[in-house]
Amino acid sequence: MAVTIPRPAAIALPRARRWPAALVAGVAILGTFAIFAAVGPWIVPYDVEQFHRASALEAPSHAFWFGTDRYGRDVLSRVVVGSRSTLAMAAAGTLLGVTVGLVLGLGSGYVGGRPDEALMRIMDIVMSFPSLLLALLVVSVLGASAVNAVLSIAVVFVPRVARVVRSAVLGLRTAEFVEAAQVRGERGSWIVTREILPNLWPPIIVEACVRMSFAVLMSVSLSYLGLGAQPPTPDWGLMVAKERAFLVQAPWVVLFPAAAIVTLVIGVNVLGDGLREWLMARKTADE
Amino acid sequence: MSDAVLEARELSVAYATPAGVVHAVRGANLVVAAGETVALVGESGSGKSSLAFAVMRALDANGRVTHGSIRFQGDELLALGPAALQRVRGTRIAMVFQDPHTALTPTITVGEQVAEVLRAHAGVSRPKARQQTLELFAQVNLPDAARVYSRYPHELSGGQQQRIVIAMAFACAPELLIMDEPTTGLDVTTEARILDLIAEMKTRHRPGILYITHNLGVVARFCDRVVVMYAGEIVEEGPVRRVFDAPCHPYTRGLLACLPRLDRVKHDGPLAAIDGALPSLLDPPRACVFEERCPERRPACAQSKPVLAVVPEGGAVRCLRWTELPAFRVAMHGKGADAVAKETGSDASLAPPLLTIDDLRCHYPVRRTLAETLRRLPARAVRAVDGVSLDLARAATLAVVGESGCGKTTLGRAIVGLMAPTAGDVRFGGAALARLARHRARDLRRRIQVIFQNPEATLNPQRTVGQALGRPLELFGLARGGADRDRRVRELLAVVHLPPHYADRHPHELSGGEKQRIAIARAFAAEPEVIVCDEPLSALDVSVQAAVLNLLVDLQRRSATAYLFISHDLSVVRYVSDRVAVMYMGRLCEEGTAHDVFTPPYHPYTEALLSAIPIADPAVRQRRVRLDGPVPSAVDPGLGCRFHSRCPRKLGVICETTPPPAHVAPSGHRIWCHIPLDDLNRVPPVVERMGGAPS
Amino acid sequence: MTLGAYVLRRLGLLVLTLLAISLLVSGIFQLLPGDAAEQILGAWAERSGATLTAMRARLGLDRPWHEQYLGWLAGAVRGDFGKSLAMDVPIAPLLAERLGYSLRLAIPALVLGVTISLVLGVVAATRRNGIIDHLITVVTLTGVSVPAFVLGSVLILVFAGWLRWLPSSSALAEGSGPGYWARILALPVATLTVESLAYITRTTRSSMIEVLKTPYVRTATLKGLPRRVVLVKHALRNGLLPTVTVVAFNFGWMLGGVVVVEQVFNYPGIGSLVLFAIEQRDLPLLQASMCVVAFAYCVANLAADVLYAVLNPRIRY
Repeated sequence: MAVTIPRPAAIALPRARRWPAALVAGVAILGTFAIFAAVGPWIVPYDVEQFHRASALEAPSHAFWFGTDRYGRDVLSRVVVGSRSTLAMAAAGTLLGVTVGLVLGLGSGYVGGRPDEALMRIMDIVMSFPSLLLALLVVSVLGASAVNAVLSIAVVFVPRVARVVRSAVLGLRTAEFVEAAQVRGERGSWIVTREILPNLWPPIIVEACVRMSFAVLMSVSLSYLGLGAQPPTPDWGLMVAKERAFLVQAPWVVLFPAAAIVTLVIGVNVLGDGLREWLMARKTADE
Repeated sequence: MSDAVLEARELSVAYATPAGVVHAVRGANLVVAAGETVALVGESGSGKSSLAFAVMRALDANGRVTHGSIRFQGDELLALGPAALQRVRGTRIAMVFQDPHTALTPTITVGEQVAEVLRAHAGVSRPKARQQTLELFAQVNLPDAARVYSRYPHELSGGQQQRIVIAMAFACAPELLIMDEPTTGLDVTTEARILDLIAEMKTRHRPGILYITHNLGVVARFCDRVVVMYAGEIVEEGPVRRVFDAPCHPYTRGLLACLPRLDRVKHDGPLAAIDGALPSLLDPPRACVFEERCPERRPACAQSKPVLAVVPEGGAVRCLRWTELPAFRVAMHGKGADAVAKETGSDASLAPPLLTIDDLRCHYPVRRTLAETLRRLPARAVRAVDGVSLDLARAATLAVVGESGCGKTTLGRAIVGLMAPTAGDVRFGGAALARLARHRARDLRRRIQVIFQNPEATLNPQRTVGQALGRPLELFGLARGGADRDRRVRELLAVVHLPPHYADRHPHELSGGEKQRIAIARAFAAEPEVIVCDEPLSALDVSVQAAVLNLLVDLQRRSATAYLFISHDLSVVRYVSDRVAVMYMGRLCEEGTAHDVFTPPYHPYTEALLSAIPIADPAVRQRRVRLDGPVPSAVDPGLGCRFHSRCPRKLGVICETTPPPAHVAPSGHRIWCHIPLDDLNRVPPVVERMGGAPS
Repeated sequence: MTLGAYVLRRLGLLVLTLLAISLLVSGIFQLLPGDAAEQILGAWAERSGATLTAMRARLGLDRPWHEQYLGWLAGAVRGDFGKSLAMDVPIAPLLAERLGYSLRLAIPALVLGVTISLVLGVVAATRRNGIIDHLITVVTLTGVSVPAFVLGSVLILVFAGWLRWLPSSSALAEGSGPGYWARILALPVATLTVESLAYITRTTRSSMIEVLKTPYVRTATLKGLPRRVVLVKHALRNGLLPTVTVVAFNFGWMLGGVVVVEQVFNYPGIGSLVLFAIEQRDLPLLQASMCVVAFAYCVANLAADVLYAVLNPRIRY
């Protein structure tokens, strides 16, 4: 039911756009975890490796705010420092996957024809594996480690990002300003980088955010299965896996890392929604 | 007002947007009597659609009726509850929208979409509803009704879809019909037939009709009264004849004066454009709404709001000075000898043409189905352009005219090098051009430029105006260094009448007309000799079209650039072109000077086109020639004349089997037709002013 | 093209895709340093080259790769996937059994998830920005943000640990009959259901919101049709199209995510088989199980595409 709202020529949009609440919340949450990842080891009360055997499996108390695990390690410290492992894996995997996917999608979308079709068929085949299973496949080939988890996340993301980028490029390729550039005789590489790419940033950024939330979930799941971060690294997925046996008698050991995971993913999702609102707001305001 | 079907009093509609409250309609008073057709006219931003949606209670979620009342047959519409509203909609008030293919649900057959209205309101049984639907389809001239019944919307043409929407609207014999631009987006010949249909249904069912449009020609054709809106207010209303003959409000006068008509050419002088832009609806003017742009304004106009004054000859007007304005006259085409000479004068130049199109063919292969490949049938092709030869002279304008699917856009794209033709040549200054732009020499690329149709997509949203204009300067080596380039950018902006600080703006900060001016500036930045203009005015408002058209004509005069002007709008073409070529299904029908093409002898297709255009002048008599039958498929069309399946003057089998010969008159006027030239000469003109000379 | 031709074409593509997948999987394993023979022999492989060669010959690993692959393919078509290296049993029956167990998880979860999501998604879209909509948005946001193992662990904690209504482990033990199965499956199915519910609800909601804004829904309303008819007949059929795609994607996700759920609940499905194969470097088992899972996913996608074509006449045209 959209009725066009008239846009008189005299109005110039105010430069500062309103910041959506979702964006602010998302940045706040992600920022907090980023700080933890960066300076975690220096701000936590206890060393993550240190055993306090006398206080093993103690409930949250004044001394240990999140309680202790079976070896007496402080859960709070391990949760805070654990953000490093998860954020690093997720961010690296996302960055790698989005970059490669971007290049492939751009090239394939602009060139078109047979190479495009062939590449998309290959991407379809890779996408016909459920993502976690594909990651498992890659990890099984390369061996279980955090670095290989990053690679496997990237492999899963490349075809999905390539498809999204490609469809955005296809939409832009027939736009008149691109055709004007072609009439001028601009080279293909110039058109792709200077005309098309600047218009792709909003959907790419939003897509990267969505990917990031999947990346966090995947890296945590891989660690849970023992195929990502390896002990003794403090990692949330590892912590939930290792302490599973004590779930009922000492739930805090599992619940706090779990809460951290959920908070981070919610933060990334909310950030993605906020970015989508903010970046696409410009379009709706001047329709 | 007792027989008023619809009566709106002091109606105000507003929308809540992120930028603030937009007052789309303010204090509107509108009456539609039974059996009367009232046209609601205005450009974008006038509020006409908002008013119509308010009547149907179909405003967007962020829209509200903030004031006033809407009475339908005496009952207050705004007070109806949801159940009562549902009973009224579709039965007593029906609406026909602009885009028929989006108005129909894609996953339900069209027959069912009409039948369900009958079942929902008249409580009719399924078989009865189906039968009544078929009868309705016959009323709206849909051939083969039973087969159409079970088709999906996307399987039908635009004209057929609109007939179905009209059938849907008339299904329950409504008392009020609201039509929102129902023929915008349809081809001219299809539009003519739909307008005929509406006129016919009107006489049969006699509903009150509120007809919303921006096209004054349509208003003149079958509306009884016209209401003119500007920036949310009604500025004038009255009987159609009176408003067109003696408009009282300066805006109405401006609208009528700026329309290109079939009797005006560029040599008569620039069109009377309306300066300035719409006021902001966030903070509407408290005094006269048109004051800023009014050529007749006085200081008093900025101080008090004019009331609605009654015009003795009929209707009302909202203007302080309406009684003081001089009588209204539209400048007419000079008919003296030197006027005609000016028109045909450019033809006398014997210089070789600048651009030659030689037997150009552009064929798109059609994807073969598995069955065809197995049976080794030859591949079929869509023959979008099939043997077109044209010449474009220096500093002249050659218009290529036709409806959708005729191939004119493909022709334009082949010339600028966006697509490679299948056969034939494009020669520039004697030498053949490489088929794709990127294979052409840099200087040749510079000399041929393009202006596109859609201002919204013609500029890169991420680049400033200055960057967009600067790029051709850089690329073609026309500026020495950054400072020189900036200076030239400012010059270009001045040439298209935009202030220099626009160089820092992004496209989303500009209006449609401004964006199109930038597109023109970008084309001229390269200092070209030929510009292909692909429907440059179609997406602009009427008042903006006039200004942009004036700009194009002016720039051509100053820089001696030739235009290949592609358009479907014959009035604009008459105004701006020196020579005209009429295309149909990939071939030329007729080609000659503008004067020759628009006067007899005509090709039968040209004749039909001229008779289909709605003309904004009730004093004009227009012969009625309508095309029957569907547009044939462009895939492998066969040997004969392309137009034979719809030609009202078809001779016989010869038209189907033999390609038509070209009749060439001494002036260079060519018509491709089997009908002998003498017979064509005897055809009377299509458009004539009452009381005398043909236009 | 007609529906039949469309289906045929997609089936053809399916076969090609499966071949490509099996090639891909098989090819990847060729890249592994070391091979199955070394894996089995373990430390012995270093001691005795002859033993290694003999083992290789016995396993057929000394043949060129394409021969190995074709041999495997020939067997696979007949239903014979060879023998598991780690467990020394034929793979095919093992796969079938485990796949069956996994489907007992995935199918109820899918059916439950889809049904509930459709209702929630449509309700949220029609009562947009109301309290119910916000509630649903919050719940689904949490749903997509909680990984399966976290949710599973929490469910175990609550229902097995505190309330003691259900067992904490779904490892198969003595027992049969629907009651037994219901207790075993309740928590894992609940976990999978909640996970997929969140995704499908979000997609349904946003696509229904889009559809409700379209001109044709507006036309249907302005024709005076009852609200129910507009919603179900005009809006839903179009609004559900993206949902069909997402459901297929979700089924595939479940086949993957089921790995984690099976770990959490100790459930013997195909996921834990894959994990086992990875840990043991049991390549034949891994190859076969990967292919079977991918096959199931492809079939689900095919079904989704066909359903999409049935609902949307424009695709077939």
